[in-house]
Amino acid sequence: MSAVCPAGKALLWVHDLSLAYRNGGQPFWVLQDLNFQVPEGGFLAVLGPSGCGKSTLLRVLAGLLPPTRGQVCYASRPLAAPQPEIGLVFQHANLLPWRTVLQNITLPLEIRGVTRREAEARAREMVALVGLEGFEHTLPRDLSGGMAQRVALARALVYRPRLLLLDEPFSPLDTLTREQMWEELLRIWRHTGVTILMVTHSMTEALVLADRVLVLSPRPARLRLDLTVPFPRPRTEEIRFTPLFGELVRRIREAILSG
Amino acid sequence: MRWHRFLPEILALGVGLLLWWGVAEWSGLPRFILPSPVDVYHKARYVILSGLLWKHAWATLVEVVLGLLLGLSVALPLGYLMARFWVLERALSPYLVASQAMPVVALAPLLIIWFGPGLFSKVLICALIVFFPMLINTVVGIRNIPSEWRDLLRVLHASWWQTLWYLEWPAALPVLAGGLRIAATLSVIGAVVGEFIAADRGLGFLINTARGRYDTALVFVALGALTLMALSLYAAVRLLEARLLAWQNHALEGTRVHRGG
Ligand SMILES: Nc1ncnc2c1ncn2[C@@H]1O[C@H](COP(=O)(O)OP(=O)(O)OP(=O)(O)O)[C@@H](O)[C@H]1O
Ligand SMILES: [Mg+2]
Repeated sequence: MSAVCPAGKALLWVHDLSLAYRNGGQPFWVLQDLNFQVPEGGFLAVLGPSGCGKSTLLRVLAGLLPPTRGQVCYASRPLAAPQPEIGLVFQHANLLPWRTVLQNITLPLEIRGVTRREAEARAREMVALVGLEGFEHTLPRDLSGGMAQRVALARALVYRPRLLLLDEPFSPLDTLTREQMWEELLRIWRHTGVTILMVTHSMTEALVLADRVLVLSPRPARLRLDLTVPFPRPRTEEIRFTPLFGELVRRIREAILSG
Repeated sequence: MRWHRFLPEILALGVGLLLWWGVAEWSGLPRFILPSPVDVYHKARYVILSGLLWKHAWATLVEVVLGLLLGLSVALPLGYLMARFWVLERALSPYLVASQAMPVVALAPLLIIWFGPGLFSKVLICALIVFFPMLINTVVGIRNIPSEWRDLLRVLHASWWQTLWYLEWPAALPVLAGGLRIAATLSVIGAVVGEFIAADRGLGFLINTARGRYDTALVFVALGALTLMALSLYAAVRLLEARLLAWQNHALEGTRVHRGG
């Protein structure tokens, strides 16, 4: 792998990225020649049909999987391993069942050597942020899917990552909670300047939240569409009922459906 | 009032004792073949009051516990390394399979020749018996940790020992506890076998000498003591499990929740 990363403003720079899983014999291609960049402070949404390789892409960007071909640069350096500045919220909450809600959220801080007292204080802030007060000492098995997912989000936010990778974080939530979480996420994004890359199945979610929407083809995933979302911020409820919104939805749908 | 709940058990025990007593009294079998419960009771009273039983039971317990600890302290680290490094597992498997195929009990005379009839050879026998099931459970416990949890610890930049402490140890604990339960009872067997071969104390030794004197009632007492010891060890492991693994046990819900702090 050549190790040239352009010095530039892109926090994440993905160049000709291809990835194959290799289970014994034939390589199983999942990502094919992906090219895109994410500027520092950007908010990107990734859409694509189920099984196309979105979670795989996030695993590559988290440094968990090395690219089979091509290159991924993070902060102008080749990304070869997980970085302490990168947070990942897994598609399935992935909580540790022997730890309570609070203990799951303090885990990243404990690993970082933050004192117990400070870790708890920060974790409690996160609990409040995701609206789970009163559940601090609940074990994961007693949480609903949506609650577990919010704990997972809190666990990723608690150590204030510079890049946040989200894998369908709001899928198990009801519409109302989901829209509240949108507000919270946007607030955090605005205040911290964190760069967000979020996989989602919802076109509305993508258009309401993101600066840019990437649409991937069925597996092996290629880039079908790289769409800049023109709505100014702060965005209001009303944008969803504008003709432009409808037009953007139509374009995304076309990109997903085009053979 | 609570003894009602155990009525079936109490009844069954009573009937069993009565049957035993009846057979011993009226079958015409000599006492040295089948002592009656009354004989056994008197014998038990005598060896308990004279301190004889404690002395021997204590000797066995020391062998059992030291053997357990020795077996664990080799099996846990080795199992961990084997689970993490395929090469090591491949390299060690032939030895392990061979050592497992060989009945450890048959190795006991050799160990006693090598290390003498003292405490150490008994501890070694116990450790050898305990070793294999603990090793297997460690390998299985560590291997079966979901890769998503490993990914999480990698994303969080955990060092290897943090991964061990925050993930591998708690995640493997249920399987380890299962192994320990088996190991505790196996260790008792190891100690008794060692004492059968050569010893000057221990419950196995007591059984052996009582047999030589046709003191069958004493054999019964020693057997009872061994059973009790194995059961207590088992119960101790269960207790430990209940404390450490409360998170997967619904029944213990109420005792676990610690509020505030
Ligand atoms: N560890 C693995 N080994 C082999 N193949 C895998 C592995 N993980 C995923 N795959 C395959 O790669 C493809 C893409 O999987 P991935 O989980 O990235 O899809 P996805 O786009 O996230 O799907 P969804 O929207 O349903 O979550 C699938 O066909 C899957 O079977
Ligand atoms: Mg996925």
